Amino acid sequence: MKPYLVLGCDRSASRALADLCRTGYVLPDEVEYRTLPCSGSLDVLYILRAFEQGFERVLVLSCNDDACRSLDGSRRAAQRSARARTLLSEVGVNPRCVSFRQISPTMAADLCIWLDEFVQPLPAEAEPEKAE
Amino acid sequence: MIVAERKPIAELTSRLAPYRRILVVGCNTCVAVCSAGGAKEVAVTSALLRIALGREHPETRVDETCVERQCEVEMNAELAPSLGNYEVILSMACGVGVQTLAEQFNTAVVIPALNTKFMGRPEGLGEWSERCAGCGNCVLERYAGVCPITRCSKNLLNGPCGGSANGRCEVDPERLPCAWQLIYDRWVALGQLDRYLTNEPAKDWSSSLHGGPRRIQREDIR
Amino acid sequence: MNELVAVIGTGYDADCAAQALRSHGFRVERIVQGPSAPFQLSTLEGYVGSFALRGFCDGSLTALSVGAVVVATGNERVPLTALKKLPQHARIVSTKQLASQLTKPASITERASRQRQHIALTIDLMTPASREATREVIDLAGQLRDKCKCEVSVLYRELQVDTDWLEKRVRDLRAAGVAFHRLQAAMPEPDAEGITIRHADGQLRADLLGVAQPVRPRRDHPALAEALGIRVGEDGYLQPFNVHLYHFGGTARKGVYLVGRCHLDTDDSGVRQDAELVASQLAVLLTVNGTQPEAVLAWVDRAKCIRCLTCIRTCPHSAVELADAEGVTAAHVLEAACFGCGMCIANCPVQAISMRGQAVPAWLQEAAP
Repeated sequence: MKPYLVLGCDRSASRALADLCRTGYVLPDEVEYRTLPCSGSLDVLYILRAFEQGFERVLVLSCNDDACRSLDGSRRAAQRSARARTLLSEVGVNPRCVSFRQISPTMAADLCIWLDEFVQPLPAEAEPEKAE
Repeated sequence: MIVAERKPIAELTSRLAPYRRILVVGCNTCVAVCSAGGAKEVAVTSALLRIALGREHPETRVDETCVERQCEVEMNAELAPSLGNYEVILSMACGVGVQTLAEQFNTAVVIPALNTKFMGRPEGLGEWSERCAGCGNCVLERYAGVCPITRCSKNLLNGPCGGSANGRCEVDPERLPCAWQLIYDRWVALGQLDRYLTNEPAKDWSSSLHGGPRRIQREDIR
Repeated sequence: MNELVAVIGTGYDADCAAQALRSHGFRVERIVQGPSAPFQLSTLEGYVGSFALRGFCDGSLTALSVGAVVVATGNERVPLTALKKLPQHARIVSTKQLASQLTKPASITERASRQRQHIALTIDLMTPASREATREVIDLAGQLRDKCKCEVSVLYRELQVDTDWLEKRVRDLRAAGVAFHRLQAAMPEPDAEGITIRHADGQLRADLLGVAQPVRPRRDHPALAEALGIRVGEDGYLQPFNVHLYHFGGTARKGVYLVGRCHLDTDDSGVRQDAELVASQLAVLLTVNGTQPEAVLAWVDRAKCIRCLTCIRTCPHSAVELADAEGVTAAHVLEAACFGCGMCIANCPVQAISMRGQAVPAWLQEAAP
C-alpha cells in the first residue's frame, strides 16, 4: 500500500507529470498518482475513501484560476478540498494531510519540487496556544 | 421539501461510541435533494464514522443503505431482514423518517443524524431557504403570495416594522430581504396596492402546533 | 447534422459572421435581438449539431432548428451626454458625428475645412482606450487632414498601436503634420472662441473637439447569456476570462460561439478575422468530427435519479437536461455536449451519475471491509 495519493487534473497536472517523466523523473515509490478528468470532478468522498483505505496524505492538483476548461473546476476543487479538511479535522485527522495546489501543464519543475515536499514528513504542529 | 442538515460528527460519534455494529440508513427524498441525507451524504458520513470510531475500536462496523422514503413503512420493510446484524440504526432522514423507523422496528435503537430545519426550497446550488411553517391555515392569498410567518423575522402579520431598510431586514441585512418589502412589491406588481392597507386581526393558532398533534383523515380514501 | 447556423445580432459584426459562415458553406439564419425584434429568444435547447432555438414570434412560441449559434451582437458606445464630467458644449462633438458629416454639404466639417480650423480628437478622454475608438480616431484624423485640410491634433492617454496597419497610419499622419499629445487629467475648457485642452507638452487651442465615444458591453448581454446557457465575464462582455475559450470565441457550451465586439476589444479588421476564425472552428466541429463525444462521459442511472436538478444546475456546459424515456423522467446527459469533466458526479446527492469510459480505482469502489 502506497501511503501518498496525488489526484491530478488531466489537463494540467497529468501533462506536467508526463513532461517531468520525460526528463527521466520517476514518481517516488510511495506515491500513487490518479488522474481526474477535471479537478471539478473531485468528490469529498474520494478523499475520505482514500484515508479510509489507508492513504496518509492526499495532494490535489488543479488548474489555475481562469484556466479550467470547465470554468468552475478549480474553484470547486479548492472548495471540496477545504470541505474535506474540515470533515477530516472533525474526526481527528490532521487537516494538513490534504493539500491543494494549482498547476499549469508547463509547471513540471514546480511539480517536481511539490512532489518532493509532499513525501517529506509533515512539519511538527505548532504548539496550540494554551487557552486555559 | 423538508430541509435538514447533518449534526456535527463529534455529536454522532459520542452517541454511537457504545456500539460496534452500526447501520446508517439514508432517505432518497427531501433530505437527499437538500444534500443532507441521500446516498452521497450517507457514504460521506459513514466514511467519517469509520475513520473516527475505527481508531479506538477497529472491529467497529459501519454499513450503509438508503431507502426511497423513510417516512413510508412499506419502503423501510426491506431493512427488516438485516436489522438483527446491527446494534443501532443511524437515521439520515428528517424527524419523520427517524420516528417511522423507531415505530416500525420496536426493538431497534434509532439515532438521528440530521437536524431537521424547515420546509423550504433551493435557491441555486448549495443554498436553501425557509418558505412554510405549516401553520395549518394558509394566509398567502392575503399577502400576495409571500408568507410573513416564515419570511418576516418577527412573523408580523401587519408590517413592516421599523427595522426594514432598503428592502433588507435589520436582523441580517446581508442575507434576509424584508418580507414586507417583498409583499409591497408584489402588490404593486399585481396592481392591488390597496390590499396592503388591510389590517389583519390576530391569527388563530389552534390550527398550528398550539392545537396539539395534528392528523388528517379522508374517509373517501380510507 | 444541421448545417444551418443562427447568427444573433445586427450590424457589422453580425454581417461579418454571416459572410464568413457562408464562405465556409454554412446556411445562415439571421436573428435580431432586442425588445422590438420580431423574434424574442427565450431558450436554447439541445446540443451542437441539433439545437432548438426557442422564442416568441408574434406572440406564439416557435422553434428554429440549428446546428450552431454564433453571437455577434457587438458592443455599445456611450453617448457623450452620459459622460458626466464632460462639459456639454457645441464645440464638443463625438467623432462618430464628425465622421458622418464629412461628406455632407454645409456641415461643421465643411465649415472647418473652409475656415482651415483646428480640430482636436481624443481617443480615451474619460475611460480606458479601446481599439475601436483608436481606429476611429486615426481614420478620422487622416480624412480631416487629407480631405478637409484642417489642422488636426490627436490626444490620448494611451495610444494602442498594435497592428502594422495602425503603426504605418500613425507614422504617415505624423509625417503629414498631425500632432499627437498625451492627455492630462484636466477636462477640456470650451469658451466662445474655442477650446483649451491641456496636455503633457503644454496646451493647445482648437476650434472643435471630437471625442471618441467610449465602448461598453451591451446591457442586454446577461439576459441573452441566460437564454443561451452561457456566461457573462466579470467585465460584462460575453466571455469569462479563460485560456481555453478566450482566443477563439468559444463558450463553455459546445456549438455556441462569439464573434467580434460582444467578447473582444477590437476594430473592424479584428472583427473580420474573428469571424473567419469562428467559421473555420465551426467547419471543423460541424462537418469533420461533428458531434463526436469525448472519450470519457458522464452517465445518469435513470433508476437512481431523483430529479433534484442539481446536476443540471452544476453543469458548466449545459450538457444535462431532464428527459422522458420509457415513461420515466430523469436527468440525461447530452453526449455531444458533455466535456466529461465529472462535476455533476461529485455533486449528485444520490450517486446516480458515473463516468463512462473511465475505470473506477479499487480504493474508491468499496467501503473498508
